[in-house]
Amino acid sequence: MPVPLYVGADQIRYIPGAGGVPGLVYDVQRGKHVPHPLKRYVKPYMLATDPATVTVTANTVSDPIPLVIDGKGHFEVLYSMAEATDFNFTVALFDPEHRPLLMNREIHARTICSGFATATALETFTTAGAAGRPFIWPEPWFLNVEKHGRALFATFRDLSGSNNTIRFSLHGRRYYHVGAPAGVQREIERLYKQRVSMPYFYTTDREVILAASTTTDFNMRISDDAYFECWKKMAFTDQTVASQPNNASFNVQIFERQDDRPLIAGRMTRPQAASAFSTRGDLYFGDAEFPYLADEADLYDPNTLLKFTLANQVASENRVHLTYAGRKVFVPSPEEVYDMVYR
Amino acid sequence: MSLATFIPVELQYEDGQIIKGLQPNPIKRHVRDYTLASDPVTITLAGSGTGFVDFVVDQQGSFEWRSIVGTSTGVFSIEFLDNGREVNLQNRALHSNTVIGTARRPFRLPVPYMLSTVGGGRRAIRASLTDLSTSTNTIRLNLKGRRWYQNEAPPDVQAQMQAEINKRAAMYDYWLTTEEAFTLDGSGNGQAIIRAGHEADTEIYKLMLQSANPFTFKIREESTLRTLMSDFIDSRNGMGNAEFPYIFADTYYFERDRFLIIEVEGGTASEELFITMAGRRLRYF
Repeated sequence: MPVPLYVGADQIRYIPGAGGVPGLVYDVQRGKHVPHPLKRYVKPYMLATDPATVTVTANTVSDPIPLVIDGKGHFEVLYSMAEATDFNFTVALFDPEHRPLLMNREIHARTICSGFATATALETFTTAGAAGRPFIWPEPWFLNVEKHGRALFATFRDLSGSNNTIRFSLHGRRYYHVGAPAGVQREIERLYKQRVSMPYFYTTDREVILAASTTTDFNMRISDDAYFECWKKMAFTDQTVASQPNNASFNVQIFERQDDRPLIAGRMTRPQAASAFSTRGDLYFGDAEFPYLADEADLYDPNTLLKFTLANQVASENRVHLTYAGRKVFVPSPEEVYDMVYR
Repeated sequence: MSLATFIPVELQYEDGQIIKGLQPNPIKRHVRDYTLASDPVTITLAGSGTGFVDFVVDQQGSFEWRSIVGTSTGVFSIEFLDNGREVNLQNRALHSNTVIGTARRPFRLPVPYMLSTVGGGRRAIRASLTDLSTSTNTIRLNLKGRRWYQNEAPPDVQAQMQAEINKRAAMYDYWLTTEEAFTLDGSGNGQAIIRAGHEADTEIYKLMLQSANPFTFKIREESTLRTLMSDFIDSRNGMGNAEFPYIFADTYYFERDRFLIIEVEGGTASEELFITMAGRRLRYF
């Protein structure tokens, strides 16, 4: 008789995203710890592009590069990392039908991939320890290989001005549901069927190019298909200020347009001048290895508009790449559930 | 920790059906990640000069202060004063490298500090600054945290928010540093005292240091002669900085009117050390 999966169900149930699957669980019936039944079928996994290295010609976009998952099991993405000749490139992910996935526009690699040398105000870090500073996705992304297909695609755009050899990988776990006992398969199916959210990365609606010493407004519109909860804020700029960390070359003010509410302020009067009480970029944004972790994960209603006022602090053209990392949440209201079930 | 994004709800329809679902947490819409800039936005100190900036929270909503970030062209010392409560948040000025982080690594307060505007009025924190670099020093400071827009919320949500705000306004953060400037002798050794003060007990969470060179140290309780380590510990293993503070394995309960003795050996001759402890005062407003 097979060992029932749910033994002391609360103790044994694995919560996605809440750390790894525990190795041992306490079996209340047998009064001892036993291996978690799911553990034998869940393994850490690193998904690389095919081919593993991609050379992008200077200032061009690569062809769509597949990341192929075999049919042996589902894949849950938790981290992203890269290594490159020059880390000045963007990434965009697509599904097999070449529809953009997970981002409204291509995202700079330094805002969603670890693997570059970085520095804080007091410390300097080389690439040697980058694997210890992975960019952790705010929400895991569960790829059901039976529903989503077995490949997704990435394109890379070089911004460095030289040929760029890139290695890109997604890290997470494989759920080897094929061949697993029925109870384990049901548990895996329960894990992905309960999902009502997905990771998402927002950047500005258009490319941010600041002329020397100018101030310009840019919008970031949250789409109308879901709520968006923002957990991490990152930026990268190709201009630097001597002896200062990256992102010191611009000031930023942010308004939540629906409420005309500034998210950076001091002594506030209305209306507020665009340059008043703004802050410097490195005090508001981190990078992929040290993202700014929001004290409150702002929940934005569908179709919210955020206005960014960016002031270039250097006397040369400045390209700024902003990324908000969070999750889209699709939650039917009780009224919608009622309509779906009874009407 | 962020507020819960969604809360469970149940609706009963005329036909008796009960539908369970989720709805956005109504409080969530009125709480935002917030950056409080100083007034003035930047300040320039002359070499060894002094100045101050204010962080003013207006009547639009309370501010829950959770971390400190800043930039400067040189090092400086800082003292925080809560004007509303008339409370100094430290016993003596603190070195900027022990309490000021950046967005990549903000210095997170041991406990959030609620600047409540429930009932009206404004709140303010004053930061007094002294340049330590002996050169012109341009400083920009931000306090980061959460803004609670309780005044704009519907009445029932407002009541919930006010209860949360009042609950969080009970404690306040406190920093402790050496009683006076601490400079090692010609052999690189020295001894300094950190005194708890008589207003309240303090619970210590973090230990930070600014020094150019490593040394070994031992901390001893004056009243019990008990040490916090079995032998001298390298400063690189026991003291962090504002971005990477050393967090005690368990908080240290520092009773009022007690003091700690910090013994230092093997340091660099005549080097000045800036040691900062961060914690919370166990005193209820």
